[in-house]
Amino acid sequence: MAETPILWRGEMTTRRALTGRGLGFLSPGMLWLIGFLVLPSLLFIVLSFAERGVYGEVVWNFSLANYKRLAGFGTFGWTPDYLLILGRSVLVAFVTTSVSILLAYPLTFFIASRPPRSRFMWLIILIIPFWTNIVIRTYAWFFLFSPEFPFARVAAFLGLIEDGTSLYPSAFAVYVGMISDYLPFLALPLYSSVERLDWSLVEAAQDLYASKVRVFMQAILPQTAPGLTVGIILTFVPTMATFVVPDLLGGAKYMLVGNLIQQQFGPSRDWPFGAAISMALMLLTLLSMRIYRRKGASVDIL
Amino acid sequence: MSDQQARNLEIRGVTKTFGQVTALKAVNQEVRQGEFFTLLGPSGCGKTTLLRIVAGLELPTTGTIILSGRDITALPAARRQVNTVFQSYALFPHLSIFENVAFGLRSRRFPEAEVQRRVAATLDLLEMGAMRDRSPDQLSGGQRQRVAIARALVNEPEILLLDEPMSALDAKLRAQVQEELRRLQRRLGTTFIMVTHDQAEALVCSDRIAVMNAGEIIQCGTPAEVYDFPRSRFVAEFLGAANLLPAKRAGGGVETGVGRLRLEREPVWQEGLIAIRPEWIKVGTSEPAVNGVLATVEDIVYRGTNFDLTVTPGPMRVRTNAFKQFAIGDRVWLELPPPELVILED
Repeated sequence: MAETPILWRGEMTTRRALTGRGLGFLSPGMLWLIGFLVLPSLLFIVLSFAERGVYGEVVWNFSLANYKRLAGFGTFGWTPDYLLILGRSVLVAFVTTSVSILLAYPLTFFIASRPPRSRFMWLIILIIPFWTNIVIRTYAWFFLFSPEFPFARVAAFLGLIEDGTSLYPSAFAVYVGMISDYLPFLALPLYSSVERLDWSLVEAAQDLYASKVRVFMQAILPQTAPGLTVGIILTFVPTMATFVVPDLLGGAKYMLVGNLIQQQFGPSRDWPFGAAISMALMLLTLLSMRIYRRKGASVDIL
Repeated sequence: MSDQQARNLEIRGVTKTFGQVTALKAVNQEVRQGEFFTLLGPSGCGKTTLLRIVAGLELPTTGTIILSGRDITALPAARRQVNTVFQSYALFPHLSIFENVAFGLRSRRFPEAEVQRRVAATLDLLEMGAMRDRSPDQLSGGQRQRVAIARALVNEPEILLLDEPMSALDAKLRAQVQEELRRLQRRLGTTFIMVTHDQAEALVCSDRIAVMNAGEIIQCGTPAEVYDFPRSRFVAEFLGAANLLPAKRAGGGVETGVGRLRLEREPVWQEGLIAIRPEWIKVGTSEPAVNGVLATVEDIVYRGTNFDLTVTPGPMRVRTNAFKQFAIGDRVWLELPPPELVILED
């Protein structure tokens, strides 16, 4: 039976030809994802149940030992060390994202309110840090936080640190580094929403006696929620897994789950345990996003 | 009631400039309690700016706004007993119809029972009670407009402002909504101030119309006054169709391109314009007693309810009943009755 021809967006073709062409365009991307994302992930799930050999090789004896160890049940009784690191990672990601949101709103409204010409310039300024490698950017903080620089001097003057010491390694330095690294990830998607804001909704809220908080919650937040959500995901997910910034600015004092994983695959040569931590991190991230979606839905934002 | 109290809203010497652009030039206007007042003009004439100044969404550069004897010029929108129906309706997309209408009452923390009662009553008034749990994107344009009106009226404003309320509706619905809006205003007795560029809408709805051009109110009066007695060329041409005849004072009347015409009164100028609406020109086969013009039919347009003839000399537009049949090239007698000849002042 001959295929019935159809007109598709002005093109004379058949259903079968369209399906074939669609699959043709789709397959390179699909193969890439299957080969380099799905299969390795499945391998990691399997690996996380395996065992470390004496010389750091993988021994395919399956057990829940890695997960037990992560939960704190070690050779010498229970310790909360790993759970603390996981919890701290969630906290750091949460604080980094929250502070970035607080900074990004005024920033994006400022940029969106500039005349079109200088708006572009402000966006470039926001994007410039992306042109530099994250390691180099983080090392730059070494300079800024060194004892000779005003930041450390002010902190010393206020008695927050000892005179002549630097501001790193510390939790504070990690937060500063993280926020400065991830603010653009939040601000750029948010900006795309803020730029298209329908101000008549703000005026309607004003006209209907809304307080400033109410204007924000009812007229601005719902309109900027799409950009904000993308920004939150782009900030929260990588901050959960980051290891460069805490490694350089936090030192041994402020270890995050990213560093822990890196340690397992690097110096410790314990790939199965590293895989287990990775799985836990992934679950934790998914769980956090799930909570965000729930909370979001309940306040009529998403 | 004293004159001062009867004047619901006074606009005194209001000017507004945006950088180099002057949007409003010293506008003076009073709007009476309970009337349906319309600001009519082409886009860019400053009518929306004037409405926004009354709403408290824009500050005038100079001048004052007085509402019931109180100067409200510096009060922001949230502190005025004035509510607006926005051109795009500006309904909150994440809130239900009920919550949209309740918005103003909730902002002012009314007790829940009263919110329920007033919102339900206002939705019923606009026949939208059945839609209370829908979201705005599930409504048609006409329904959204009703919600926008309900959302403003539920606050019992002293003045309801409507910014081009019909612009999002199709032509047929528009005619129906115009009459409904008129009835609603009569029933409530609230002062309505509407902005529109549609002369038919202004004529149907309003008690009084202020015609605006280039930042000024150039004529204000009842629909019949502004339509039948335009004072200027702009008003004559903006409201409906008009034949404009350049004229010179001569004897007891004026000398025009279509001959000598008698008028009801003497024009103040030596040379100027005379206007007559196409529907006021009478067409006949015999010479009329006064202001008769022998003319040739040049073109005929059928409009369903009537024919529009183009005749020379002039050329003039003439509107005739649909049952009168003419052909191109016919010679006809026109009568331009003196009461219908309007002397323009500019």
